[in-house]
Amino acid sequence: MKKTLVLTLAVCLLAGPALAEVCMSPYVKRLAGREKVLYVWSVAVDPAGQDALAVVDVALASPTYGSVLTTVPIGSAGNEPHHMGFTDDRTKIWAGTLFSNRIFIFDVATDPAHPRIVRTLDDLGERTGLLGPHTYYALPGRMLITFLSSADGGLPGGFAEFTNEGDLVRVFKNPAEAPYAYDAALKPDINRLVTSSFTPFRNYRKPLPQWDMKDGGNTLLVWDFKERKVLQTLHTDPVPLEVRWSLKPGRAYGWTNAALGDSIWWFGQGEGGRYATQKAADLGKGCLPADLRQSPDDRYLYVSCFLTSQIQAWDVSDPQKARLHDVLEPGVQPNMLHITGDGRRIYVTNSLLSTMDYSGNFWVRLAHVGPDGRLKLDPFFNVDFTRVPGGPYRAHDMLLN
Amino acid sequence: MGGVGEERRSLPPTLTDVVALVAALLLLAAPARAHEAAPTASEWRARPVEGRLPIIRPAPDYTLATPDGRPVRAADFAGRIRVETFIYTRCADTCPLVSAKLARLQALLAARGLLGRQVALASITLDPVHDTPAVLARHAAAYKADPRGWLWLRGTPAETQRLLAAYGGVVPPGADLAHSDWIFLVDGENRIREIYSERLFDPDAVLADIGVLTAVAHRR
Repeated sequence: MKKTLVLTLAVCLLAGPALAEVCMSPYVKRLAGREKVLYVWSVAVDPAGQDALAVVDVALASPTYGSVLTTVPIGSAGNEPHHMGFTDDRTKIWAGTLFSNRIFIFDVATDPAHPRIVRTLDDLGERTGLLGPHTYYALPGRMLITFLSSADGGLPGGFAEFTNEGDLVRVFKNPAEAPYAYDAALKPDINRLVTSSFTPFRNYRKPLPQWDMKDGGNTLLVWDFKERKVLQTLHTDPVPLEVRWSLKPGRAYGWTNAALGDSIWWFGQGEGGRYATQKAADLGKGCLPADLRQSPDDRYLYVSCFLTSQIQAWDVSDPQKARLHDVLEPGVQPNMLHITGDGRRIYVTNSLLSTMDYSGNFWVRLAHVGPDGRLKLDPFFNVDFTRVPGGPYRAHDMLLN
Repeated sequence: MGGVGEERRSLPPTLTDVVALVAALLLLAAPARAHEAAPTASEWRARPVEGRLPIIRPAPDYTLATPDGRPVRAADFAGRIRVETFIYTRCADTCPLVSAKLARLQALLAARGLLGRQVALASITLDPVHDTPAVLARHAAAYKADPRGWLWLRGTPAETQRLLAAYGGVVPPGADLAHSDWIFLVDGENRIREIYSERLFDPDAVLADIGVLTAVAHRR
């Protein structure tokens, strides 16, 4: 009887705070064991090819470990597959495209190694008044999707909420004084959502030399999430991208990477409950920080420098004053990072946007995080995406299952 | 002790009963989380209801039954708000935590005179083959469910599967009855207005949401 109680107590305690991998919505169900497959949302290099969701075998004991198991083509090229996210119950992946403005919903529960498209949303402009679906953020039974643009390709951007099946619930547009949109991250225990800002469809769809570098945001919005109401507009260096809250309960602060400022910014609640921002790290001129991830213990931030080809690890023991801890050179133009739930491995891809990539070699690589927080590239894990059947592909966003 | 009619007490406690008890104790022992104070009724009325509780979609209709055999349809709740979820009695992960939190919500509603009359709780078993009426009744009693306000419902296996799918739920193959830990807030017109997950289900915050819906109902 006593044994049963202890066991039950342990089960209950474990069931309580079970969180998914860091940098995902806290509502996403946790992966039960070590990852077995890595999904890679991939852009066809050849205009005659097809964009696809690739499945990489990452089950350590598997004879095909480190190779592409299958690709699920989406019917055409030129869509610009970009980011994706799980529904909260981890049964579906929502994966979106920046140029064709479509969202593909994949069933990954029936057979995780063989995703299947169950629905395509391809009239987003008409349905939401927004274009450029970017962040796929799970809420209970619903998905919150940020959009970079209004339906005419300009501003404001905003976000829309859908049921997990893909039916639209409602739309929120950014306020006129802070119209640029990009990422969103929620801190449910303090009821605050923070959104960030990039550039709209009219700009990012053009070849890079034609971009208007002034057509971008430098704002973060702090929302009362329950009311979906903007409380405050904050400012950072130009184009703050990823929003990462501290993972500790109750802590009302986080960080963002300002891509054109080569900097990491702290945002957080200060005196009187108002939020403020402060530059927390200078990443070095020309870094172009494209992705920002964090360790599960709130100790380190990992940032990919797309132009200087580094992954930098920053110690944020002092959240407002980060200290450079380690630098890894994983190969040319690293972009997306995906950290495992235990914080021990970081998968890396190296395509940002087809209009911005400056290398023709595309891959998925793996960095191990040591007990000292230092990064080491795995010499035995290197998935060459130029040689994948149906490819070559530019490897972009990743999810584990 | 152990008199006629108290047969339940003479049975040894099952694992799920113990899980339920421990979950309830944990919940009681948990320090009160800092959250915004529940608004007063006049504050509720001042709030933009659409911003807070949008109409997410219609709730599916169903025909289920209570352990004593009384048929219950979704339509029977017309005019009443309900908090509805899926559980099964052998579940040892999130279900006991959900049920413990619903027990807390039941107490909050009862203290305000809302339970049964204006607000109902409904726990639907995903495992009707194992959860016979007797098993389900015993489980409900372990949570001190008040049958006037907290209904424990079961249907045929086919109806249960249909209903789960209609709610968007999936039980992945081979994973026993692992299911989404959703808790639905359904208004008096059978529309889903909020979906909570177990981990962030705060009975006081749910009470505030119920207050928003009852304030609107009173205004009509």
